[in-house]
Amino acid sequence: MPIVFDQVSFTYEDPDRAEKQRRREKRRLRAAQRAARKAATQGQAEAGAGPASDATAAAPIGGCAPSNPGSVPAPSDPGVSSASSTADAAFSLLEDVEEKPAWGTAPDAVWALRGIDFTLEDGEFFGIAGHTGSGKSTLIQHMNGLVHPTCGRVLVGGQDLADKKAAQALRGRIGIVFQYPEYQLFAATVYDDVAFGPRNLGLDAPEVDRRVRRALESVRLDFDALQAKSPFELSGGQQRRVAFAGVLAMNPEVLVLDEPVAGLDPQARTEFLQLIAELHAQGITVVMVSHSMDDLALLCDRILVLKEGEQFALGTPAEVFAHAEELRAIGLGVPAAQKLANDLRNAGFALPAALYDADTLADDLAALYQAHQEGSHA
Amino acid sequence: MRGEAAAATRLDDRQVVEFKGAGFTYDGETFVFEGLDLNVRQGQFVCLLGGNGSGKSTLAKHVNALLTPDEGSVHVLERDTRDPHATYFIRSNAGMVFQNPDDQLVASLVENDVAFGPENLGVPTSQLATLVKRSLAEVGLQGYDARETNALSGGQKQRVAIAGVLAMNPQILVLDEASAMLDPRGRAGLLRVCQELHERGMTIVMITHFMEEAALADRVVVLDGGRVRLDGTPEEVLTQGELLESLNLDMPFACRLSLQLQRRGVPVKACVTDAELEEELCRLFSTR
Amino acid sequence: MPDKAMFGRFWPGTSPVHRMDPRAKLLLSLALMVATFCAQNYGGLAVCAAFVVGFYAVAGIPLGQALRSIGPLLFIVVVTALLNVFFVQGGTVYFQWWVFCISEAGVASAAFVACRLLLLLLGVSLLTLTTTALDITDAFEYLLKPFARIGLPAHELAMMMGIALRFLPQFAFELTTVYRAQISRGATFTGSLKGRARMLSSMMVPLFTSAFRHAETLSAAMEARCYHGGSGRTRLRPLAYSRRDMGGVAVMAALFALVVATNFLPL
Repeated sequence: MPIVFDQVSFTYEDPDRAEKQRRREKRRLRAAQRAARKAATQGQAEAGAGPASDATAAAPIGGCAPSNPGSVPAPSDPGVSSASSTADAAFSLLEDVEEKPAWGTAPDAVWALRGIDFTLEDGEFFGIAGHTGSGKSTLIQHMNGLVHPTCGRVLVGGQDLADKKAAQALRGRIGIVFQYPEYQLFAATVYDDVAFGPRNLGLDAPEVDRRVRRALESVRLDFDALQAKSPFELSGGQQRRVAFAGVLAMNPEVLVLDEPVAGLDPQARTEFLQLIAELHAQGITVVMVSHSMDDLALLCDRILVLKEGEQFALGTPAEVFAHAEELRAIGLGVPAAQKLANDLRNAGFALPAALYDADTLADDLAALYQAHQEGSHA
Repeated sequence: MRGEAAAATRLDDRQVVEFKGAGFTYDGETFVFEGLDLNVRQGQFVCLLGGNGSGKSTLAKHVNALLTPDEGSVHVLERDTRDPHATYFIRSNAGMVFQNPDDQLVASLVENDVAFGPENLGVPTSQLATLVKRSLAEVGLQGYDARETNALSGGQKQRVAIAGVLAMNPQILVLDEASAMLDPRGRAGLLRVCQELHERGMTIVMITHFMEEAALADRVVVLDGGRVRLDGTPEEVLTQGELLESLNLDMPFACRLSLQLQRRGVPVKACVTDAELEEELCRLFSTR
Repeated sequence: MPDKAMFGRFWPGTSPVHRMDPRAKLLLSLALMVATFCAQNYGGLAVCAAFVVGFYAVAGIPLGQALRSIGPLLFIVVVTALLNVFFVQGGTVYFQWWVFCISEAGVASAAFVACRLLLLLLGVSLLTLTTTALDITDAFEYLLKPFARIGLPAHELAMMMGIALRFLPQFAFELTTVYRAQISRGATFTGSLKGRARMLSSMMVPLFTSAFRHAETLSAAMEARCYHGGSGRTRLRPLAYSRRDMGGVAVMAALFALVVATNFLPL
């Protein structure tokens, strides 16, 4: 059941309203400038300067125009050609005011996603990287129709998620584990919490029971010891496993994980990543959002890098991390082994441009050393 | 309170935090730590490592007198944390930053939050504005005075929390997994602030489980089950691969790689940072 | 970036109204309310309306925005007006059916009450549009201080208000996340009563546990920063009355005088 993102763009604002707001501000600014110009021209005792900027630049209104919000069409009307230099200055000022898509804080962000276009294949392990505020969380919430694209389409198994019925029906088949999922636990017992999803699907009691058992088993929690306990009595790591099981009990075909190991200690991290790798090996398609390039390089088949809501890179880890410089320029790292290999290559070491982990890098360095030793003995 | 702080800074090279046979229990039965001896020298950058449940957060709260020991004693700047007259002296001098950036800011505006500590200490209004400006500058957030705390990123929130502590003119900064919930950029910013403060003489006690952060400290202490298992320079501690693993901890990448290289017969010394390893390899390959 | 004015939302500005002491503003808004209640005829209301419009003009807030800001509260005006229509009787009867009866006096009283309420809401909205929540909290604390002697915890109340304001957006965000997470697990608001109850608890329990978690750390963080109640605390921005506030008082006195005068006019 592939998930297709077809030119998806998304904004939290109502684009019509945002557009109106922008035009309103522009008008206000223009009025102020006109007043200023009037004052200036009066000083020159010549009032000939026409109301150049009155030709309201008809910006694309509402609908879908996920271009840069600052790119208001240039004033090319013939009526404007007579615009004096002051008017030009006014326009550049205008654009300065408009070109401020401040990312990171949701209310200011204009387009949270722009032109996202890829297909998630069956059985894939798909990684998503990017800064906080780059649109990762918004992107994954498109996958089961929690959020609908402002323009473009999301197709799951050929069905458009804009269709509410289809989205509802597909919801159980795409499981999303949110960041810090243990904060969403609510039931009196571990059993009830994990059973929440299956019960919502309307399954009968024996089937619910089977699913709860299997889900707890697959996150390696002891069913008999824990099922009657309150989830709030458990340790942080166990709570996260229970929350995880709650999603697995829906029997999803696609598992979407938002920062699944954030805030865990090193050992719990490793165990959790192993668990995810096992689930993937059983045939579940996995989408994982992570800050850790090491984890992504280790596990993923493909990685999508987001930058300010746009697709910055998409490809296999080797392809993506070959562009270490570009990634560093947008403030994202590369896996530790890759970083060191790059540094050494820059320092003159003859390392091939491959994707490294600690083992392979050690192998290659040892081989280089061997060659160096032999060379110096000869 | 101010006078005392000034007198205290005259002493050099002294222990600013002293745990003497300290023991603590939440429930009166099981001790989180027991018979703990641990000293921190003035100006040191100490990193405390340990898996979940090793007692490191409980220990951090003792430095700030939020908790007091049930056995033995804890002295901060030569004052007993159990002495009620010393509580505010200790709290203002051993500032604390917590894990969750969303939980520890009190006010809606940055300037009000930074001023919260000194306001509690009764610092005159005439000095508060300068304190706020200076503290924000120290964490690289000049001009953020009138921002809303809710609109900041996690990393910025943690830096505001540090500024709020710095406004009390502390000598010790305790960070209780302050970077755990941040993204790499936020974490890097936080670490840079800590390093700058350390260079200017601040004693820093940092609790973390990111080994790359530990590699930058003066001293690394590994706790396990409420006991000090390892204590030394990053080079001494972080290269103990097997022991660290048995304590649910990692090694920094440079460490792992240098041990792998040693195993393959490349005579590098165990390094803890990338830069060190790179230097070591360059040296190795240039000699004939 | 206030792209729309909302009731209770701050509209940034540097007008004299913005720069007035929040205590003065709070008290003067109360006075404005009293004045609108003192007005006994449309003449009085017109005087009040003229002043309110004047205040908005001075504050630099477009009247359209002001009306929009009270939009969500208009139902109060409508409900009150309807109550008046049906319960005040007298004069010509326009309409009668079962127990419902619409009469001349009812309509007149409804219109008058609606106007009065509208002015009242505009007055309160002016306070919140020109004063940050923080300043209002501060003003409350100062004004309640005299009552501390009889045991009213003025500082604590203000601190609670401040913290509630600080955490409100946070909880809104968390609630959205939990809602989406539970929706992802197939939860729906429709369906059986039991199902709906389960859905509600799946949202409320996480919200409450989160509130407790926040409270626990926050109290430790406040303690760690030497918080020990209001005694001996200083303030970054202490409130101080200025000549501007005296001006406000004078304007309000004029309003009262005019309103009272109109009450004696044959309108």
